[in-house]
Formats: sequence, structure tokens, C-alpha cells
Amino acid sequence: MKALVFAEKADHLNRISSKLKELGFEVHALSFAEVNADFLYLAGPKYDYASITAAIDMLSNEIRPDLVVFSSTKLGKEVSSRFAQRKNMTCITECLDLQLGDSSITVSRYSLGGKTVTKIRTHLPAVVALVADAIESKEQSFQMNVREFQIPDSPQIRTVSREEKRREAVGLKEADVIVVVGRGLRKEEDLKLVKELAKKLNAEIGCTRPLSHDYRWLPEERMIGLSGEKVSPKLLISIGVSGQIQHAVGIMNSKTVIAINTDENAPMKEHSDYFIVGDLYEILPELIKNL
Amino acid sequence: MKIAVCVKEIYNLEQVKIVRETREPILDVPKKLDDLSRNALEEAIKIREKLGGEIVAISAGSPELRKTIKEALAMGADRAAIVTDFTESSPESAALVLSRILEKDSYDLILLGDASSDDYSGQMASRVAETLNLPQITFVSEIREVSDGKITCVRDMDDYIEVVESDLPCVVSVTNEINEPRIPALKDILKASKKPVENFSLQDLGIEISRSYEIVENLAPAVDRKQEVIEGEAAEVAGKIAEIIGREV
Amino acid sequence: MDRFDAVVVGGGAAGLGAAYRMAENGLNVLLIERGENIGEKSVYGGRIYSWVFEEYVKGFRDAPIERWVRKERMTLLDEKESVSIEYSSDESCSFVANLTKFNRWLAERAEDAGALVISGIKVEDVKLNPAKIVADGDEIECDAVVIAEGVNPMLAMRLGLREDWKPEEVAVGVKEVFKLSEDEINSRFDVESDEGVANLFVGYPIFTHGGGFIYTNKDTVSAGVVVRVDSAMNNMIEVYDVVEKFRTHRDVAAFLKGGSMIEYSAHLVPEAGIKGIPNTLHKGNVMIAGDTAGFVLNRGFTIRGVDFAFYSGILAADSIKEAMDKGDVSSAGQIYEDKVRKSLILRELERFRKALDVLENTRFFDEYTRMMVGIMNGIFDVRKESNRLYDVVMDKTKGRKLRMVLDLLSAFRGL
Repeated sequence: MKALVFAEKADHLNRISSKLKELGFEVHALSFAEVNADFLYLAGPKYDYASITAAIDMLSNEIRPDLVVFSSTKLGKEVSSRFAQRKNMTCITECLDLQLGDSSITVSRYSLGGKTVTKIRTHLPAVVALVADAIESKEQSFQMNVREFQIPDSPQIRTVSREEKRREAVGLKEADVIVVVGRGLRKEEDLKLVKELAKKLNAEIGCTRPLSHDYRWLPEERMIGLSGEKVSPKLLISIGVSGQIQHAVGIMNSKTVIAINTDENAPMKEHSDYFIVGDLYEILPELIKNL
Repeated sequence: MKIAVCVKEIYNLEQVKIVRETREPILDVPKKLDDLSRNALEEAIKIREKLGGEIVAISAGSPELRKTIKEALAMGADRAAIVTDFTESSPESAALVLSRILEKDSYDLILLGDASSDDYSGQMASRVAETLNLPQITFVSEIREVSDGKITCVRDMDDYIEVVESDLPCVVSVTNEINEPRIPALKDILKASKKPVENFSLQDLGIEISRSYEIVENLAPAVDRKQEVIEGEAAEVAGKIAEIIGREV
Repeated sequence: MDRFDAVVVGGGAAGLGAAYRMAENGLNVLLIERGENIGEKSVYGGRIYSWVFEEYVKGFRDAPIERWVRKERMTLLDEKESVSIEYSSDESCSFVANLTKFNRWLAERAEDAGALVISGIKVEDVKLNPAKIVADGDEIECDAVVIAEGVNPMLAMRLGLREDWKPEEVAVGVKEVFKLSEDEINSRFDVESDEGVANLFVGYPIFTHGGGFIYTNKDTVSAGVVVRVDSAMNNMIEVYDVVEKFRTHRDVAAFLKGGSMIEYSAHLVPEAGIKGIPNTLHKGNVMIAGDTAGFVLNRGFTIRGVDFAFYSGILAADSIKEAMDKGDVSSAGQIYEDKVRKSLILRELERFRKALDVLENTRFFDEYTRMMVGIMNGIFDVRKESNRLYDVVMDKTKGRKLRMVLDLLSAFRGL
């Protein structure tokens, strides 16, 4: 069984390669950097879907893989589905795991806006895009045949400019304690209250989507949820978060969850071990004093 | 400017309940026009306001779509072309159906949401563009300019922001941050009831849907929290929280 | 702006009856519902009498009916015991439906008939002479307006057609829906798949005006409590609290066991009977129907409102049609007034005027319920020695026989 993999990020590729190797695939990887693979096609970086799709198409015609795998980033999703359509194949994106069956694979992904997890089985050959962070895999040994590969330069659109997003190094993934803040916070200045608490607890700060994407009070990389980070701290303190499912899926692996909310019927209650009904503006100052 | 907006009906997710014991979703709820489809429509309306032209809402779904599509017409689409016997939906079959409808006319711009809020698959723009052999600009957070057969957009990608341009016709998918969709007023809804809706069947389009995958299971993730409710005076409550924190860390 | 023959405000049973009937009669009618979708504000998981739908709605047998009621149970409940009377029959004149779905179905029929049904729009005002409605700052002119806005009569109050409900005129109902399998319901309630049970409860946990209910749907069971608002206030009854108590009573829990609660909702129910009907039901060409007019009859054993609501909508529609045919559309309001006053609705409400006094008597909900349960206990609780029926009854009714006989007589006459 052969798998052809592409991811623009080396760490994603390594994770996915290990997973595929574990399942018994011969791993062929198209990469911009040295990564683990049985057959590595090392290419200069390119970020336009048309060129990458063409490259994957070429390689797949040569290799005849049973499975074509992408990292479920935005680029990965756009290329995987364009490629799948070209080959008239099924493509399943945002996969949280991957199991191999008898000439079929089974994947899990969120559906209904995060309310459910759907298990989908499809016959090989198939195309999938995996959420690299969600994939668990052990280190594997690979053949490591390396070959230089030229991605055909065939863009369909013109890039005027590309700018890396300025990323704050955020340790949400590794944090033992996380303080999450939601729309219960009234104004940006009030973040200092949250920051003070986080500092006392040596905690990372996370937030819900409106705070990072609508109000822009906190950087995007602090957003926890379906389309953001999925965290697994020992303790998560959730402040003024209503608990919409799109956010809640991001905190499901936390060991203990404490939530503070004025609304006793907030959906957040269901996702909390301790649900405090009260005003964060009254409780936080007291709590900070207590720590 | 002739703009097609591919829109999608989805379950009203707020109303979808989960049976606690079995973790099964109850899907016996009304459908609505997806929020991301509204973002795409809003963007189309803004372009029409500037350049004039026509907006056609295109969709494939259940018989309920006849009702749902009115939301798109009320928002501002001039007419609609839909398929209402499309119930076995997979991204590839949906792309095929949408493309067949799109082929019936010629459009300068095809807009859609970058995904739908229910399953967030995000494949439609690529698949439609590939089928129609058109360029695509996905995950667009801003349309800078549309003119002279050219479109310039800002793309919001995972790690970078990109400004790209493409010749028209072109497929563009937008993020939900691109705009705040307008809410139709009574007079818009009344107007919508008179707008033409072309209703095709899969047979009309010569499409046979085959199932390419199988749903093995669809259950809510198991959440098993203690859900202990704590109420009281701020000071007292804070003391209790501090105690819990002390225990857990 | 478009002009309509008539505008109906509210997409509940009354509004849908009016819109459906007018569309069937070829009128150009617009129905405006405030909720995002038709049916969303219609909270009722109970029994609906079918006559009016059989008579007026084409294809009614295809409606989303959960089960036809073949068993009626009346249960007197105290803390630990219960006494039930069950009536069962082959024939059924009522069905259990989820009113949200049922109304959605009715709305589709109205649309098929040619009515324009829109939702998610709040009508802010209704004006007279000429009749028009105001929404989103726009006015829509029409020949007649039917206000069927439900139990919260904002527009009717603004027009001076009725006053707001007093606490003793309305009850608050809380409904919980439990998911069970169809087979499980069939075996628990001893019914076939299309057969259902309507079970009303008196006594525990409120022991005052109101009671509990259980209705069987296809694969869910609706259960809850209705309590009159004034009694709830006077007795410091927390509805959430009593619903919990009701649900966990052994004889209620037995029906719900293992069911997952999938819905929780609360709604107000007019309970003033004939006394809740305003002096006039119209002003010019604007008329009120359904709960807004107070067309609900509670006679203890049965509660009917949905059939009356739909029927009042039909009457409004017919009045508008009649007035238009006469060439004097301005008479529609008066024709409606006359039709309703002569109709089954008012005849029924009038017939049960005395029921209001009977049901006012809290002894039925408390003392006599406990007494009846006590008598049954006396008869069936055999620990070595058995009690004679005579002794049990004499003992349990000691010192209150005369009052009880009078009360029972009044109930006999009134209900």
C-alpha cells in the first residue's frame, strides 16, 4: 500500500508520515523541507494551489498511491479538494484520526458545527486531509530515498504580496493551566483583570472566536475551538464564556474545567466540572486576592 | 457584472438537540440558509451596488430548499436556480450539481462561503472551479477591487496574509469575517416572493448520484463533567474557587 | 408596496386557520409570523381535537400526527400514592401532535393554497381605516387584519381590544419532552403504534389550580405541569421546582424512566373561559382570534384551545369573504363578531361558565384528591384485617360530608 503525502509544514508532514507508516503504508512525501518518508520528493516552496495540484497530479500518476493525504490547513484543503475533483475522487477534510480497514479507510471528523463526531468509511483509493495536531503517532523508521523534485510553475492567479502573520509564541498546547475569556468581558481594558489572574496562576490565556476575530482584543493564535486550538491542560478556568459547541470542542480534553458565568443556563455548564454562577467583575478581584 | 452565489441550506444547528443517553443528534429541525452563504451573498450585493448587474443564487438541497432559498432572494439575489431532490449530499456530488446549474449561464464571478457551518469541509470552491476549469481564490477576507475583468482579493491563510489577483471569470470563497450580512426587512421579503426561481431535478441535469462513502456513526462526543454549581457572595465563591485551584494544580 | 385583501398577524393555529381558509377562498392573503420559523413559538405538546381539521383541511390525514388518543386517564396524585381512572375506546376524536410541526405543516397547506406566509418579522402596529399593518417601518395596506398573536396580546391591547391578562386568568405551563423508543412507549402505555394516551393529573405536587399531564408522542413523551399564575404566586410555587417534583413522583417517573429529556419549554395558557373573552372582538376591520381572544376552554377533564383557535381563524376568514362578496368589506369585523357569538366556541364557553366556579374551588385539587386516595388506601391496604368500604368512607369524610356533597353536586353540574 502506498500513500502520497503533501503538507507545507514540515512538522505536519512528519506527524502524518509516522501515522501512515504505522498503518503500514509506503510513504511518498512531497515536501519543501527534509522530512521523514520512504520516498521524499524535495521541492522548493510554492504556495499556489494550481502548481501544487499539478505536482500532486504528476506524482500520483507516477506512484499510483492508494491514499493521498494532506494536512488539513487552508492550503491543504484547497489543494486536496481541487485534486480530488480532478481525479473524480472522494475527499474528506478535517479528519481527526485515520484507521485502515480492508481496502478502505475510516476517519472521524466533527459535523453539525461540532455537535457530533462522524465516522466515515470510504474505499481506497481516496483523498483525505488530516488535522495534524490531532493525529497521534509514534516515531517510525523510513527508507529515506530522497529525490529533488521541480514543482511545475503553473499558477492560475497572480500573487501580489504575501506577508507572514506575526505570531506570538503561544504555549496553549503545552500549558498546565489556561484561563479562557469570552464575550462576558465588557471592554478590552478589562483584559488586565484576566491577565492578572493568569499571571498568578502561571497560566496561558486563551479566548473564544469573537474576542480574537471580531474584536481583535487578543491574537488569533489564542483562539480555542473548532477552528482554533484544541487544548488539554490540567486546569482550565473559563471566564464569561457562553459555551457554544464550536468553542467547547476545543476544551474537551481538559482535565478539570471551572467556569464563571452570570447565566445559570449557559451551555458552558455542561462542559464544566465547577460552574460558578456570578459576575466575573465581582469574583475575579476577590479570587486574585485569594491566590 | 453577472454574479452567481452558491448557497447552502443547513440544519438550524442551534435547534439540533442531542439525546443524552445515546448521544444521537435529533435532526428533526427546520433548515436555514447558512451564515457563510449570507457572507458570500452580502459581498455579491456590495459588488452589484458598485458595478450593477445581476445576482443569481444557486443551490442544491432538499424540497425544503424551495423555502430556504427565499432567504437568499430576500437578502438581495435577483433570481435563483435550484435543485430540490438532492438529499444524498457529498462534496463531489454537490460540486457536480452546482456546476451543471452554473454551466447553464455564463458568469463573471462565482462566490461562495469558504465552508458551511455544519461540516466545515471547505471543498466546494475548489471542486466547482476545477469542474468549470476556472481559477479560484479561496479564504478571502476582503475583496479589494473588481473591474475590467479582474479581481483583487486578500486571502487570510493559516500563517500568512496574501493579496492575489485573478482574471474573471473566477471562483471566490469568502470567510465569515469579510462582512456583516444584511437582515432583510418586510418589503425585501415581499419582493422576494415574486422573484423567479428555476427549479431543476437531478434528472433534468442528467445527474445520477452515487454514494462514495458511508457514515458509520454520528454521535456527540462524550462529555462527562461534574457540573457542580457554585453560587453565593463573591468573596465566598472566590474562596471556593481558590480551594479547587489549590487541589487541581 | 403590495396590497393584500387581508393580513394575518401570527402563525399559530388561529392565524393559520384564517390564512388557509382565505387562500382557499381565493383571497390574496399575507401571514406574518414573529418567530424565525413558523411554529417555533407554538409550545404545546398535548392533545388536539380533530373535528375542525377533518372538516376544513384537505388532506388532513397526512398531517404530522403523533398518535390518536385512544386512552384517557385521570390520575389523583398525593405524595406517595395515586388513583387512576382510565377510559379506553376504539374510536378517537383527538390526537397528540407537536404543535410546532403541526403548525409548520398547516403553513405549507396555506402556502399551497396561495397564501403568502413569512416569518421572522415583527408587526409593530396595526392601524384602522384603512386597515394596515406596520413592520420594519413600512406599512402594508389591506381590507382586513386578523390579529392572532397568541396569549401575549400586544397589538390587541394597543388597539384597546383587550386588557392584559390578570394572574388569575392565565396559567403557566411547563413541558418537558422525553425521548424513548416507539416500542417502549407502546409497551409502557399498553397501546399500539398509532394509539396514544392523554393522562391528566390532579393534586401533587401543587395541590391547587392546575395539574400535571402526560401525552404520548410517537417516540417521545411530553410531561409537565400547568399552574395558574395567581396560585403560583400566592403559594410561592416555583414552576421549575414543581416540574421536577412531578417528574420524579414514582407514578410519573415510571412512564419516563430511561428517557432522555430533549426539550424544555414554558408557555402561558388563557384559563378564564367565558370571562376572559373581551366585550368586542373587532374594531373596524381588525379582528382578534385564538388565544388573543381567549378562546380556551378548561373543564377539568379536558382542555381545548387549538381547535377553537383554528376554528376562529376560519370564522374570521369567512367573515372577510362574506363582506367582500357583499361589496361592503368594511362590515367584515361586525360579521365576525356575530359569527363568533353564535358559534360553537362561544356556546361551549358559555355552557361551561359554571365550570370556572367549580375549578375555583381548591378543595378539589387538595382535600378531595387526598381524600379519594385515602379511601382507596383504606380499601386496598390489607394488613391482616380489612376495612369495610362504609367505615373507610365514613372515616375519611368525617366532619365534611355536607360540604363535600355540595361541592360534588356543583362539579356534577358545572363540568
